Amino acid sequence: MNNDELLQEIIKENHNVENGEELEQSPLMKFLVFSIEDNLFAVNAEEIREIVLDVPVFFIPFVPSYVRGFINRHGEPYTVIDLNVLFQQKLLDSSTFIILSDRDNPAAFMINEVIEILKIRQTAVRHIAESESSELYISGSLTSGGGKEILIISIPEIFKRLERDVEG
Amino acid sequence: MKDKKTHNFLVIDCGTCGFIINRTQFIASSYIDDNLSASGQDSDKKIRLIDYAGEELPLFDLYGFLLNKFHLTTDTEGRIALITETNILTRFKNGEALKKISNYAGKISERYIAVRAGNQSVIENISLREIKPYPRPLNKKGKHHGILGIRFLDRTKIQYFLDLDIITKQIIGESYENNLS
Repeated sequence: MNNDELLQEIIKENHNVENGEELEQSPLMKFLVFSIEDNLFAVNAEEIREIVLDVPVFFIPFVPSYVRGFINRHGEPYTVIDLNVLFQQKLLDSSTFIILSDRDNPAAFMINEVIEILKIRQTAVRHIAESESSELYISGSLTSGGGKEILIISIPEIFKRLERDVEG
Repeated sequence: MKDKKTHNFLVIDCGTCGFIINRTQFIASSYIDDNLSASGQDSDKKIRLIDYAGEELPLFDLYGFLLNKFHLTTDTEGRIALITETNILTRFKNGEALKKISNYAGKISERYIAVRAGNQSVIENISLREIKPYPRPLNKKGKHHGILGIRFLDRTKIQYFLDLDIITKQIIGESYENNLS
């Protein structure tokens, strides 16, 4: 290794330290980023099965206001959850849905728009305390390429709330 | 290949939405005459009676209840009465509802009641595979309110599979609170 090569290696090593060697080596995670009104949210892409546009929502009675009804996917009913009612107490006007992959709880979130699929290192995800998570339905946050903060939806907390509300 | 299991249901069509009821949950149907068809719109809100098998049957408004709970509007009238054999009134609040109706209407049947359905009601033989159970976690709540399943006919049409007995109990409960108590 000559001095030039050595210098390159020294620069590379220092660059790794500055950016956190662990960060470089931590696994990549994929998040689906979407908007609801002016806010950005994300869910782990593994928790999403498909994105559906322009399907009618069928009203169902005797459910909390954030359950907007059912949509029909290949003859199966999926419960539509309006996150805007949970977060802002306002009904969302949209016909875009993301279908969750949990087949035991067939459900979809009503959203405005899919923004991007974001690949980030696991260590770049900022987690929040479990006690806060249950109240906010948020498990953490991450930062988009444009520097915007994106809140990560806690799907289990939303289902816990729904189970409480429909069984109570 | 194994045959698909089918069953007879009453289908009440209300446009983009409809309801299916197990055929075995009622024993007969009859036509409600003009004077009775305005159920629920009359100034006298007490429960109406219809004749069946020589007995007077209280008529409860299933059609109005469904249109109201499912936020539906339709021009189709409801002049079909479904007759069910049930001791539901005798059981309801230990027979209080039965006593209260009898007090102003005279002797009424203790074996049968009638519920009003929409005119666009037909018996249909439906494959059980077409009916999907109410999804989790809403299934318990749905069952509690008498909604057992879903049938999608196409992209724009849904039918709810109802338990007539549980729905009727709710209608009697509401009538009891509003008109009979």
